[in-house]
Amino acid sequence: MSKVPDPAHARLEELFRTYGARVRGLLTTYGLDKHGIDPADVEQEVRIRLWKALERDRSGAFHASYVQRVVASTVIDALRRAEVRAAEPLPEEDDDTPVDLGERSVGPEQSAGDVERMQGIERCLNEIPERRRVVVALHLQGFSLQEIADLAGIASAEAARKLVSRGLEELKSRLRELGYGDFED
Amino acid sequence: MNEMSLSRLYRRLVSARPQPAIDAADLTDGSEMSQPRREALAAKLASSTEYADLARMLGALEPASRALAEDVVAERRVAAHPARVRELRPAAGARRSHAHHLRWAGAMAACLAVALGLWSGRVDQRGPLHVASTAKPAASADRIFTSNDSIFSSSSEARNERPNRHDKGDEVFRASFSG
Repeated sequence: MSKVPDPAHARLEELFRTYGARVRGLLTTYGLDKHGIDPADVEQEVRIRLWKALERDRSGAFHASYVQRVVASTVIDALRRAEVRAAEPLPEEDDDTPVDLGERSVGPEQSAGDVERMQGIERCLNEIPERRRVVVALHLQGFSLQEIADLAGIASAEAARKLVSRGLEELKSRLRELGYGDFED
Repeated sequence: MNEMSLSRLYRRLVSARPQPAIDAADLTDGSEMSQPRREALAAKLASSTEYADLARMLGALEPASRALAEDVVAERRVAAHPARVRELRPAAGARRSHAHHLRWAGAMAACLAVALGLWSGRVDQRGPLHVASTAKPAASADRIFTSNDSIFSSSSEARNERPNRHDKGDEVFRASFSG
């Protein structure tokens, strides 16, 4: 007997395909592909996990928070695998393939200067009170003021802005005092 | 040219460090988290470029996840409707069709059996009728209980008035009583 295609299954497949494409796009937009993971692999894994979740729970409940958690756990697993791969020793034979040195290639002198400045930033950040230090670090990581407020449990984005502003001024002032020069955000 | 962007230098600094352990639930529980847990998460995200990127990505993905969840629930609700269930069960449909054919064949067989029964009954009825028409004189030949029997005849003259030798009755009894 020939199998009749299930239109509901096809529609769900289409929903997951659209969602998977969105996940893949955002992985690239937010630079997660630079951490050694393949967005296409993550997309496929997310879709598989969502299908499994759907088949496992037939009660009809399918919450957005659960979907978010599926994506989060899939990406975390991929990042951990990438970390393990990065920690593995390189092959012995000579390889002419250029090694990726990070966001951009820098010369040895510049690299040494950057390392020195990074150490200065770390040192100065550690001198700032913890609450202010965390919000400044979140700002440097690229979080918006509202996201910082939500993450750090600050009452409003405006309150977060004040904390970030004071913290940045303090950090820049300390770096200037130590002779690292003037920094931009 | 020296790198003077605090953001880029800080991200390079923390990306060179070992990543903190983080759980997917930490990134998705959001407003349900207690303040200490929230502060611990903020500290982890502040010290991990990868997880910070993931957290920001999840924030941007949230509307799509909400839409997907709503669409899936709606689709399942439609699929669970009885009419759709019938539509979505081709095997059951095929079984129903097969059963329909069986019922039809059964009805035809029953009709045939009834027709055969009627026909054979008519044949049976016609048989005994023929037999009855020929057997009737024989039956009437039994004179034991007929008034013509000589046993119950009131006189010997009455016996003589009957010229039909077929109705002469049982010879045994007649002989013993009339002789």
